[in-house]
Amino acid sequence: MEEKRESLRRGDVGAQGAVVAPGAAVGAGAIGVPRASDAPAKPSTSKPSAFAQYRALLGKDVRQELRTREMLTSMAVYSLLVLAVYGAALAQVGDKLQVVSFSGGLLWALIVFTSLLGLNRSFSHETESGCLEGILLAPVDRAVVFLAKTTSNLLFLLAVELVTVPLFFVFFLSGAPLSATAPMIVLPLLVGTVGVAGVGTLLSTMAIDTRGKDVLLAILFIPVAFPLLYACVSATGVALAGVEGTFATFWRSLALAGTYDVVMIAAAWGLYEFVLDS
Amino acid sequence: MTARPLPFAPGSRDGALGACDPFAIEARGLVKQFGGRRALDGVDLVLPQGAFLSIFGPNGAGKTTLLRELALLARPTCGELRMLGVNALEEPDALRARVGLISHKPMLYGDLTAQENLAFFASLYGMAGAAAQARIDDLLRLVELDHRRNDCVRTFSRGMQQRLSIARALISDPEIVLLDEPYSGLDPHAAELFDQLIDRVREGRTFVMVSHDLEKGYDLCTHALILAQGAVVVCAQKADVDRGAFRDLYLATVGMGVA
Amino acid sequence: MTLKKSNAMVPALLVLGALLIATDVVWTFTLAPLVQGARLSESVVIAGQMVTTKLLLSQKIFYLHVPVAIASFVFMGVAAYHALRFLVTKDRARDVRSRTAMQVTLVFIVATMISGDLWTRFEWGVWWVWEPRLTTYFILMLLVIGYFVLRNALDDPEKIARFAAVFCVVSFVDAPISFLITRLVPSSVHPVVFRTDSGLPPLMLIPFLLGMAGVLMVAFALYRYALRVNAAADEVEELKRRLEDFDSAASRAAAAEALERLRTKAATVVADGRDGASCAAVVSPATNEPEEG
Repeated sequence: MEEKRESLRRGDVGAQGAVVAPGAAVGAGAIGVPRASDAPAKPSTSKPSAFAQYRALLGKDVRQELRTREMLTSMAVYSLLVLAVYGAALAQVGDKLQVVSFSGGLLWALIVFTSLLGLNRSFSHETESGCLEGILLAPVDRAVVFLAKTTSNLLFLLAVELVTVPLFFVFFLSGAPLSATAPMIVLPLLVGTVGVAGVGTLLSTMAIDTRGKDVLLAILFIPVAFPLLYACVSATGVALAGVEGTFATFWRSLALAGTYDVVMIAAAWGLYEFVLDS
Repeated sequence: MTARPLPFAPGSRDGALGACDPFAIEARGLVKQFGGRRALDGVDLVLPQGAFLSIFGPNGAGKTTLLRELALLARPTCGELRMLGVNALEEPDALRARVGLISHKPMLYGDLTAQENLAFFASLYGMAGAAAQARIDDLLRLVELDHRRNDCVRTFSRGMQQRLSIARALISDPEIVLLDEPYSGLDPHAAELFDQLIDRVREGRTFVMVSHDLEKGYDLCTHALILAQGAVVVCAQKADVDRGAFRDLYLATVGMGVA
Repeated sequence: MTLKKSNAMVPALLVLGALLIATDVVWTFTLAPLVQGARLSESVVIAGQMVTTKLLLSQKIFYLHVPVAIASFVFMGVAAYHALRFLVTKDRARDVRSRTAMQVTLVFIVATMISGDLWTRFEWGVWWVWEPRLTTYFILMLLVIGYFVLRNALDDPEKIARFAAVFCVVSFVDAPISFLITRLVPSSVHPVVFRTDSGLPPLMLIPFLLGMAGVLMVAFALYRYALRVNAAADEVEELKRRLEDFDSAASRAAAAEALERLRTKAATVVADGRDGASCAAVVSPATNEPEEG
């Protein structure tokens, strides 16, 4: 690559018909010095490694979020509000045991709505001053952009779940005897959040410059994520109920959720470049 | 690795711009079409290295579309595009580091510092470590933002952001720099500073600017192009064109409703 | 040529399809035997009602409802196919086809939902059950609605086509997963009562196949008609846009003429009479120096 460019600069000038004064080559050398003669100092000509770019993209998202905490605080506060609404909705249910039977669903409703809020925000920095275009100007594989954004969204969603899920237990399940298998809900939470982050990243990229993007993301996201939601609610419910002999369902639901993750993230990965490039 | 001198040290202008082959931009029959609508309708353009091309034209003439294709952000529906001797449609990634874009949007993260912004974009171009840092230092000195390097970009004025945007675009030391309405939102003083900076980095680079400001664009350029309806009305070297006649032609293009 | 030919066949297809459906319906109510129950091993309670083994006259809906449902899915596949082709070729005609197929899909989904709902109410005594098929269909409908909402939320026609194509493919991948998951993960609230794994006797199979063929033909004819309407609508939009753009110059010819005039003028502006349409090719270094304006 370096030699190629060198030859382009110095190469046979006459062929194109431009007349070059004898001093010109020196002059061109002078302005081109840092590029041509000091090759190692010009690393941009080496093919950038995808992993370094991924790290840079991810690091940028994390640093920005740690500085502003925009996504994390808005999601955390919103989840508290949803919990308060649940409090009102369940005020008349006296028996904690009844709550256990549908707490999987409640938990996932909380996660889906909180995630929607976060996903909507996840591209606000990128579009604010055209940064996404700035990224696309660089020799970055579009799939790397997708992976980095999915990872950062996943990290933020997991961070929020780390707060909201214990709070959910404190508020609604503290009186009920928890089954021994309750900690197993970590698995569906993890698998589910991976899928939400992957599909959510694709769809929120599409929603960036649409009219009424907040609503649009919900309209696109909820039906697409429905199968994942369905499987995860089932797995979470089984784990929370902890009834003997129902664990086949748990694993089957988990496997299905995993299948969804693989298929949909592969599809999103393949389609992402069409969303970014015209 | 030692910090190397930058090519834009004042006083190093000794001309000889046409010395670098091949052409900076060689476009043949660029068409951007969707359905029956043609944003570009067969644009031919040949630009030698070191030139400064100003593109004028009424709204919707296809100026921005053309610039996006040159920036490798959009692909033409058909046509050929070679930049710096490389086929831009077949190997866009080989060219991306050699083409920079400064737009009216600064393309900087408001919540990161100037230093962090430049370091981030440097790493996208595969630059890291001391070499990248040296480059960032040089660029920050160039755009005179050295003293603000650890402040968040959000606290910068519009003019400062636009200056930092120059540093961002030059991070990979591109040979072609595209300017998309760079003056919009700049006050006259900031625009003046911007011009001075562009003048300092002019050496050894080819510029293409889209602008609504005929006077400014015409003063800066070596070549001028008028687009209308996605087609080239005129593209000529400034030396061949009479300023008054060009101005009349521009006004005629805007006024005739052909866009 | 082939397009013209197939266009001529469209009305014939429509009539033939309608005839087939009519045959299907007549057959359904005359020759096809009444189903004597779904042979549930035990009676099941759905929404407080005992569902016994009776599936009598209401079963007749099967001969239309199922073909319509299948047709909706087939046309979603057609839409996804054209969407993929669009992403590869960026040819607008593909986008129009994909969108049209989605419109047909929406019509058929709504028809399926309505007929299915009537049946559900009649047979199960409830308007809605979160049963796998119904659930999947509901999600499918939401996906198709989302597709059209997405199209309406964007301005740039190229972007509309691109994003819609991506979403169409995602939906088409998602729908079978949705079906798979709702089947395989039993909901804890409602048991799976509805099975369609029984073999059909010929007297039932024949009208079903007739209906299937008829519905697909009608769907295809609808698709072709809608395609023509959409293409015409796009053309009208395009003409409207041009009229707006050209404002005083009312036609493309006048605008082209204006452009030609400008170019002629440009040729005189460029001192050495170089062709105005192509740029200064090779420049000697001397003139290449930036000038002071």
